Amino acid sequence: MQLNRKLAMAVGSLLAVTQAQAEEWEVDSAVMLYNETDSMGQDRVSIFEPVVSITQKNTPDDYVKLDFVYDSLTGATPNGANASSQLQQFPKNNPGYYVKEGYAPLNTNFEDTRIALNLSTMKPIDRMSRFTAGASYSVETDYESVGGNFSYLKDFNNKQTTVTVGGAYTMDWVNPSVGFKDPFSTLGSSTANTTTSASGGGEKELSTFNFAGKEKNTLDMILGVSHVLNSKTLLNLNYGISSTSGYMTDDYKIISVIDGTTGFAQDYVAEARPDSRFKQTLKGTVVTAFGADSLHVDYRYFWDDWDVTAHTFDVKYYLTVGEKLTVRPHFRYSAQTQANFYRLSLTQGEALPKYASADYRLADMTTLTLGAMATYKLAHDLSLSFSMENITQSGDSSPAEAIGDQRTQDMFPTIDMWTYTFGLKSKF
Amino acid sequence: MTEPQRSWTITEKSPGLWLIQFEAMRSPCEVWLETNQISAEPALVWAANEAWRIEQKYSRFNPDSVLSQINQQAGDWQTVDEETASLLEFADQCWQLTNGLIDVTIGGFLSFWRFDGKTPPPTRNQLKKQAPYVGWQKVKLDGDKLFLPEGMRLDFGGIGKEYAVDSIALELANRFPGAGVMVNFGGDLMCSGGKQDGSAWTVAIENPHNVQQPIEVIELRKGAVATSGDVKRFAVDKRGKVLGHILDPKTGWPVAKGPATVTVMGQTASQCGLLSTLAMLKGKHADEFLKSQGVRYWLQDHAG
Repeated sequence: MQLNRKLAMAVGSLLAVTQAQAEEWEVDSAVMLYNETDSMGQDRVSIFEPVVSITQKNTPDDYVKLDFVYDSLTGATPNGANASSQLQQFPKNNPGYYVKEGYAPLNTNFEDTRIALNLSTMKPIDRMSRFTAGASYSVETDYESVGGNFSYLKDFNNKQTTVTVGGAYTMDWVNPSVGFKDPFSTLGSSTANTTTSASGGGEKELSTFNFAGKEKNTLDMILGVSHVLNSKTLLNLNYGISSTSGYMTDDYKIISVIDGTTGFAQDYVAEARPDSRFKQTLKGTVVTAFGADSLHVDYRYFWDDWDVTAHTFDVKYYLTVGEKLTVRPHFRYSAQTQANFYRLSLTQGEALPKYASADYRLADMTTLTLGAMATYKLAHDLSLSFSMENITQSGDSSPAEAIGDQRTQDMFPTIDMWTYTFGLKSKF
Repeated sequence: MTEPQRSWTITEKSPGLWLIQFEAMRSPCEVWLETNQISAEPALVWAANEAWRIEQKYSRFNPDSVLSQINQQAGDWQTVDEETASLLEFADQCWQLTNGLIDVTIGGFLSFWRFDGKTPPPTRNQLKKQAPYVGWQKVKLDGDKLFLPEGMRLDFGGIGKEYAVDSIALELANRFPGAGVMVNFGGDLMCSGGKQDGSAWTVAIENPHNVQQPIEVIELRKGAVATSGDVKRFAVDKRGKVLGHILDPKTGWPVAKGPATVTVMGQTASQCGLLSTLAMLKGKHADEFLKSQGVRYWLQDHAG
């Protein structure tokens, strides 16, 4: 940013005027294309996502921002069943779709759209403190979410230290198109639809504020400290808790029930997840400037009462190439352990556990992200950006618990995702 | 210390267009207010009093001023009032944003200079000895708690007048929504809203070499103009060379090869004042600097 604009902002906070002199409108728009394939060459989800964000900024501490996201999702996701050396049919007794031998079973193609709106603001309270407040809403054909958040930021020590205390409350409603299923009920069985909601099943129109379905509530709290170590280095530490209660079972996911010797699926049943989850995160960020460049290093530790733990390292480097071009390479690595109720499959004849899910997202998994973004400043108030990222998710393809035929198959096909984002940012 | 002049004149230049004229901050001051409200007169008197209040509070010549008291308490932690804390924080941001070119601890050097056109400049040695007592990085500021190391002196000369212009203009604009407001303290001015007949305020960009012949006359509806220069206030060295009154806080000496005056147009007088002062401090690179800031500006070189 020009020195002139920074000075104008400093003047704006000195004069503390509501119609601040440095008033500025920012419009940030981007289109993201996302495409996912697995190591068997199957195309999975594709997402087309335009994003528009409008900010009315008086000073960096005084703004109102509106984000609008439109997602169009098409493709298929793993249904949770294991790959097999035999042709598989879903449901087993009354096939609706087939999966070729040797392939990870995917749900039949789906299409969905998501619209999300997020309104947020930051306002100064006095010279040494400010608050943020926000409201969010998003809707899909089978999902709806409403949330609000608030945080208070207080500066100490000549503004070298800032303490943040915040909270958020989110209410979600899920209403799967396949209906709600009884835990461990056989896929396609008559019991499977007994609890189907009135609007469930089949195609649905995107309807807003139709709070049908099962509810889930999440309370988040965050405590953060950021401190300027020296003129070049900023350190930020955050501790967050998140407590969710309500319906978290994914009715689109099933579990293979296999024969204890051959490993072939004898049945496919619905999953069941606990109705509460308590998550904690600890995150540290260091931002260091090297002349016009800067390095951002993040480490995050996550753990919850489902016994999922995750370590994430995230490194970004903002490299200034000349006056107009910035290139930002990005590296991220994350390793997660499985939830205590994650099961590759259930075995015929075993006593049913209370909870079980074969969702790969709850399995032991590592995620590697490599990407880069280039931003080109066309004018002082207009910049273009392009970013490209590759994400690889991999897990245990031959886990110890695999039995019989499962040992001949890839139990965790590596997933390869690409995202391309084109952005345009302008100021008025 | 003699009590400075506290007189003013109020004129209704045309129906509903009021003007107050007074002296403050060593400059002729004017505040124009266009409104039909009967409270125009008391508001203009308030404006004059506000200018005097700010001048008094931050005067480095008045030993009773808040600024002088702060300087006297150097060496101890002290608590400052809300307005002073805001100004100090602003000073801190300016210092950071300009890599130390705008530095309110310059008071340590200023006390050696008299820009009256006759008093000789201090010697380089004097300034060198004084250097340890200048530098904002040595000051500690924590909210309203200030620690000014012993021997150091603050000076708000670089920001005080523009602060007065902006805060008075904004307050009048708040009190009289939709009215025309123009605050002009010796050429540093801010206006908010044009006149009620739809016309703009006219501002003459003065030619330092010929006051009768302005460089340009501009029209302004909302915005500010400020000028830095060394035409009226300067010192003369032994060889008769004219030295401007804008000191480089790193050396305590005026920057050489700079323009005679720099006028900047922008949103607030504070912002324009800072940019014009910075341009002066950039010496021969003044033009280049202003060009990169995306503002309208006028540069005048020294005559001859």
